[in-house]
Formats: sequence, structure tokens, C-alpha cells
Amino acid sequence: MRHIFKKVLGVAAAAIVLVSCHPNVKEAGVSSGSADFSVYVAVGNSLTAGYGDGALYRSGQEMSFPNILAGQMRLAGGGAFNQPLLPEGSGFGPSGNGRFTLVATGLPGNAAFTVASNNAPSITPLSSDWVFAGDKSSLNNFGVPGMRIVEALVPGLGNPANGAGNFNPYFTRFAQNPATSSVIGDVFARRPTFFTFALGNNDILGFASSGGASGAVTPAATFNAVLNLAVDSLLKATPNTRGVIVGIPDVTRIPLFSTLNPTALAASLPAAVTTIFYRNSAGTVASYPLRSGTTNPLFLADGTLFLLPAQGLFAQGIGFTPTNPLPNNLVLDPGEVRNILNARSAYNGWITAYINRKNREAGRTVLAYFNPDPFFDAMQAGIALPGDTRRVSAAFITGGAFALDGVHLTPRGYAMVTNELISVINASFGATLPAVDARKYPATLFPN
Amino acid sequence: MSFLLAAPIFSYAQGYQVALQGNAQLAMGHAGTALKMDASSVFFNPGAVAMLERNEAQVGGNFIFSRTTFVSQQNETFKSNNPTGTPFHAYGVYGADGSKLKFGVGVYTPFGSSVNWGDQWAGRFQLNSISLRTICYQPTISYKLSDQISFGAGLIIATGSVNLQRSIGVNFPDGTYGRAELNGNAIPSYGLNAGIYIQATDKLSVGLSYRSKMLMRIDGGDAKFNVPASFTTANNLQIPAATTFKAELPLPETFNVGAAYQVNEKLLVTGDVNYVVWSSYQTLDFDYAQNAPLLQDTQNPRNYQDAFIFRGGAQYQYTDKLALRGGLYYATTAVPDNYITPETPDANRTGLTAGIGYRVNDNIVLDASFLYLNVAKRTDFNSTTNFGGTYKTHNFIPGIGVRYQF
Repeated sequence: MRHIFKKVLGVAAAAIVLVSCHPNVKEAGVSSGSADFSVYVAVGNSLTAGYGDGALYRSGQEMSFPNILAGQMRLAGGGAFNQPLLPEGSGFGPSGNGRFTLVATGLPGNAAFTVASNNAPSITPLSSDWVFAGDKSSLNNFGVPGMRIVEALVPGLGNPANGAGNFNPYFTRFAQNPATSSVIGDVFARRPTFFTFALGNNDILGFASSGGASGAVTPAATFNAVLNLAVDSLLKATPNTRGVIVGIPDVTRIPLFSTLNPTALAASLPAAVTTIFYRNSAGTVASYPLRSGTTNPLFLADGTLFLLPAQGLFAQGIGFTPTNPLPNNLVLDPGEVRNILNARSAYNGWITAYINRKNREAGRTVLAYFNPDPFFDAMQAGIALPGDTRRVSAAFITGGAFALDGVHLTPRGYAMVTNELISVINASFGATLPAVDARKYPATLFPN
Repeated sequence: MSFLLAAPIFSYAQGYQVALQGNAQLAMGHAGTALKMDASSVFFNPGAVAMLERNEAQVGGNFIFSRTTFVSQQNETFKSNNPTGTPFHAYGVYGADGSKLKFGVGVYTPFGSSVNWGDQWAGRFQLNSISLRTICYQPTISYKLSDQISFGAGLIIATGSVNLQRSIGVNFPDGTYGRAELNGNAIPSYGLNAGIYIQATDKLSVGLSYRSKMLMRIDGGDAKFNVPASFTTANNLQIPAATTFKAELPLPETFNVGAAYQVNEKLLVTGDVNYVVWSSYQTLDFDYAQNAPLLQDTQNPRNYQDAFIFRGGAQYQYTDKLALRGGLYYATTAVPDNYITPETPDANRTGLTAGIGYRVNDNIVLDASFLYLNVAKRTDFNSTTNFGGTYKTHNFIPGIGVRYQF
């Protein structure tokens, strides 16, 4: 009977070999539909660059929405996606700051967290580290922080010879020829087969984030003219180039403007404060009836927006008397808010009109529109990602979607936007790109 | 946030039942309600214990190699790296010569799970790993009314423990996620295992048995949360670093009916039907001693459905010493559509079994068994957590037991 046991041992040994195998489950096929993802190029501003927490930094670039999207496109014939990456660990923001970090205040009764700006940038603009040392002719991410749509066609946008304030150092980093290159020109030279075009935010935000105190909203007609020139050029890059144009989200709903809303202010400011005083763009002192519910409920719809940094001044007692008003640059009065909202509607109107015309002329879908509104609307209440009931929302710090600068997104926020873009691409071009697991990408980083 | 949504339970038979209670029966499709083969009757049908011809002590065990592949909504493939499960059983049966009364005792592990998905997979906020153990002790008494009919009953004393780990959706400064670990021992619970054995004819036997519902209750289990320290400070208590929890998990009642037929001197065939009242598992609730904004008590619907298991097997006495066995079974799933969880990626199951019994001498018998358990591929999404995908599991379960008869 010994041989029987040997057989049993043999079966057991075979079983042990078998058990190291997992069952096979076939993944769904991934198709690019009518699009060709072989050379995907992203054109845009800081949102395209992967900027966040007040700075452009290496790990943010690596988790930029175009890079996440390109990763999914690679499942359907997409090629390499090269970005002008900063050196490891580096970051740079507009005031020479590094990346913002969150610190716990640890003082009972205080807000639990404050945002600290790290004023020790690890990289200096125009230093040898600053300039992208890789192959500038094979780049795919043309996200230039701070760029307005009107600047996308300007030759020499990155030319330091123009003098401080008259060139964009983020473009200097990777322009083919900083003295002469325009962003759209460099993009065209790359011959993209597919692009995302996300410009126009700064044409509003420059004005909005200064409380209407500086800069001007780009006129809608100018926006439309540049849009036509820029995207016409991109569509001619190859005979079959396709693209998505990203609409302009409602900037008044980002934490920079939405955090100090009437409800939050009424809850956080002393009960004795019933009116907030601020200097308006005309230079006169205006008032905002804070606890309007008891005086005039109509004022709830006033529409005045206080910028997030006003929080620090409120803490110092500024803004509660006519003689000590908030400065103009921290308040958007109702007229300024209307200006911003009207510009946004006009831009998006021109974008959709342009897309419709191009598709009609081509007789097929060559351009798709990414309408950001449903996503930003849902983000106000929060979006529950599969497998976790904790919602990712637009709430500052705790919501997890927006970065610590209150304007840009966290990597998780960018990943969720990528999924929205993927839906648009799939619906418009018949592709079947899978979504990404947004929880692979970090949200707010909380201090120990 | 309720990141502790579920008590993750993985399963080898159905739900989180582990049907591996006797190597001889296992080799015959784990049908044993109408058999009077050995001391495993303490588990399968206490009514048959009094019919056993000899006193016996038995020990046995199995090695569970369980592998699950999961394809997520994002079309990514993940593979569980489950530790090898080692459920065991031991039985003793004693009655004085010629006595109609026999006493038995059993120690066995009817429920349990061991699954490890790691902390990088798509469902990490549901589950990283789970280890659930139950051990039942069962003193038993059985009485032979006549040569045709006997009955018996045992008191089941169930104990157990659970260890559950999952990621928490809060990032540390380095971007990694927080982690929760729940650890607890169950309060002993009590149940009944009773049965009747009928020798209808020389060749035909019939068995009926019933195992009652028990509750695995944990009170005062340790809950530890590894999150950024700024979440656990007094002025910003989002989640306590440590607290205790209460939870309970039903071990469902089971009705079993079986028949066995001695076709000739060498060939025995048998079949069982088990009806498992999984509908007792409606919800899984966690009650934490200390709540905080990110740590609320949770109620998680399970809505399990009652399920059937159909078992069939045969034994062929090849020589005086060697018996060859084979069988199969089919189990309907306990988990209804829209309720799948990574802990219990259950689906309809097909088991193929084989084994041998070898009589070493007058006192000692060895039983070897092998079970291939194929869990059907299932694509489902949990309507509560919105998490799902396609699960596919197979199990390879070799086992061995030894009986000492006297």
C-alpha cells in the first residue's frame, strides 16, 4: 500500500503547486474609440501642470491630471507622457515659497489646523536647477502656471529679457526657445494626436483672487478670438487630431472664496459683530450685514465674497468698524462677483459654440466639451468614492479635494477630475478608458 | 465617516461556514447525516453516535489554500494573499459494551475565515485582512432506542476571536493612509446539536439533524486607530487612538437531512441536504465605546438569504483495508445581489472531493481527503458601499485524519 501513499503525496504536491495560482479573471477590453492617444498633449495653466498647496512641486507634477489620464490612455495605445519635472523634492510658488503645509495649532479652543507657508523654496527660478534639463522636444505637459489664454499665443512668453513681471518663468523652464517660443507654437511642433485644452481660469482668477483690486477680467471677445486661433492650430497638428476643451469652473465656489461664507462667519465671529466693513474698489468703506437674518433676510443673497486670508485679519479684530475696514483686495463686492460670473458664462458659451461649429464642419466629433459644473456642484456636498462613505468635498482642509491654497486641487481632486474627463472622452469618442481609483492619490496631508 | 462598514468574513463553504468536520465524510462530499461511520457523527448527527459499533478517538485537520482574484471597477486586477487556514477537529465516543447509551465529545471549527488583501488594493478602506476563528466544544449523549432508531443531542459551547484590519481614508504627511485594527475575543455562547438516526432497512439509513443558531458576541474588543497625531489630540479629537467596541455575528442554524444506501458489500452511497438559515444575518453593527466625528457607530446591512447545500458521495471498499471515496456538492450563495463584500465574496459553489481510508490495523484507520472548491465567478456591487467588481475564488484543501478504535 506504500505506493498508494506515494500517490497521495504526489497529489498533495501537485495541489500545492496548483494553490500558488490564482484564478484567472479577464479584464474588460480597453479601446480608444475614434481617438488616437499616441501623442497626447495637455495645454493649460497651473491646473494642468499639477500645481497645488501654493506651489508647483515634483510630486504634484507626477500626480497631475494629464499624467493620470495618460496612464489610462496607455491601456489603449497611448504613448509616453513626458513632463518638465522639477528636481526631486523641489517646489516653487509665486512668493518664493515652497509648498504649503498644514500644522496643528495644539491650542485648546483654536482652529485645529493652520496653513503654514514654507518660505524656504528648494529651487530658485532661472537657476540651473530650474531649467528643465530633459528633452524639450518630446514634452507632453504644457501646463504653465499663471498663464492666461491671451498669453498662450505670445512669442517669447518665457523670455527673461522681457524683465521681471513681463515673462512667465514657468514657461522659461521648458520652452523650446524661451526667447521666441509661444506655448501653442511649441505644442503644435509636438504634433499631438489628442489634446486637452484648459485655459481661461486665470483670465478671471487674476482679478478675483486680488479681490478685484488688480488685474482685469479678459474680455469675452478676446477670449473667443484666442480660443479660435489656438485650438484651430491644434486641430491642424495631424489629420486626425481630437481634443477636449475644459470649461471654466465657477471660481466663487472654490475654498478661497467659499470658506468665509455668511453661515461660517456668523458661526465663527463674536456675536457682537453684526456688520463687516470693507473698502470697496471705489475706495469707499462699504458694509456687509453679517447677521442679516435678524435685520434684512434679503442681504443673504447679497453675494459679497470674503477671501480666505481675511480670516487672519478677523482674528486681529479688523473689519468690524468703519474706521478699521478690511482692505479691498480681500473682498469681492457684489458688482465684482457679477463681473466674474458673467465672464465665466460668456467664456463657456464661446467654448461650446466653437466646439459645435468645429464638429459641424468636420461632420463628426473632433472636439468634446468638459462641463465642470456637475462635478463642482457635487463637490459642494461631497462625493463618496466607492468603498468609503467618507465624502471628498470642496470644504477647505477637511474636504480633501482642494489643496491648501484654496484654489488648486489635491492629487485626489485631480484624479477625480481625470475620471470626469475619462467619462467625457469615452462618451464623445467611443473609447472605453477605465476610471482610476482616486484613493490611490493623497488628499490633504495631516500633520502628526 | 464610517470606515468600519463591515465585519469581513471570508468563507470556504458558504457564507463563512467551514464545512470540514471529518475527513472520511469530506471525501464523500461532506455528507454524513445518515452515516454511522465514525466519531465524526458527534458533529454530523449526534443521533448516529449510539449506533457506532466501536468506541473511537479521532483527530484530523485540513490545509486551506484559498485564492481570490478581483477585478475592480477601474479594471485593475488584485489577488488576495491568504494565509493557509488549518481548521481541525477531534472527537471521542465511548459507551460500555452492550450499552444503549454512548457519550461523545467533539472539538471542531465550523466557522472561520482568513483573508489578506493587503493595504494597496482597491478595497483597502473596506478590508486589509481578516482572521476569524471559532472553536466549538460539544459534549454529547446518544441513546439507541432499538436497532432501528437512535437519537442524540449535544451542547455546543462556542468561542472565537476576530482580528480585522483596514485602511482609514486619512493621509499622513508622507501620503500613506491611516489604519484601523480591531481585535476581540467572543463571549462563549451555547447551542444545541441534535439528531435522529433511522436504520430503515438493512441497506437504507436515514438521518436528520439540527444545529441551533448561536451568536458570536464581542464586548470590549480592542479598537486601535493609527492616524495622524493631530487627529487624536484633545482639541481636535477626530478619532480616538484607542477605544473598545461591541459587535456580534450570528452563527446560523442548520437543518440537515440525509440518506445512505449500502448497494452491496463494497459500495455505499449517501446524500445530504443542508438548509442553512443565513437570513439570521441581517445586519452587522459596530458599537464603539467612544465616538468622535470620524468614528461613529455603524449599522451595515447584510440581508443574507437562506441557502441550500446538496451533497452526494460514495465509498468503495476496494480491499479489506482500503476504501476509495469520492463525492461532490453544490452550495447556493448566502449573499444576495447588491450585498457582496470583500470579506465574503460569496457565490454559488461546487465542491469536488476524493479520498481514501486505510485500515492500518484493527485499531487504527487513516483517512486522507482532498477538496477542490470552485466558487463561481461573480460580478456584483454592494449598494451600500458602492464598492464591487468581479470576484473569482478557488480553494484547494487537502486533509488527513486518524481514528483509533477500541
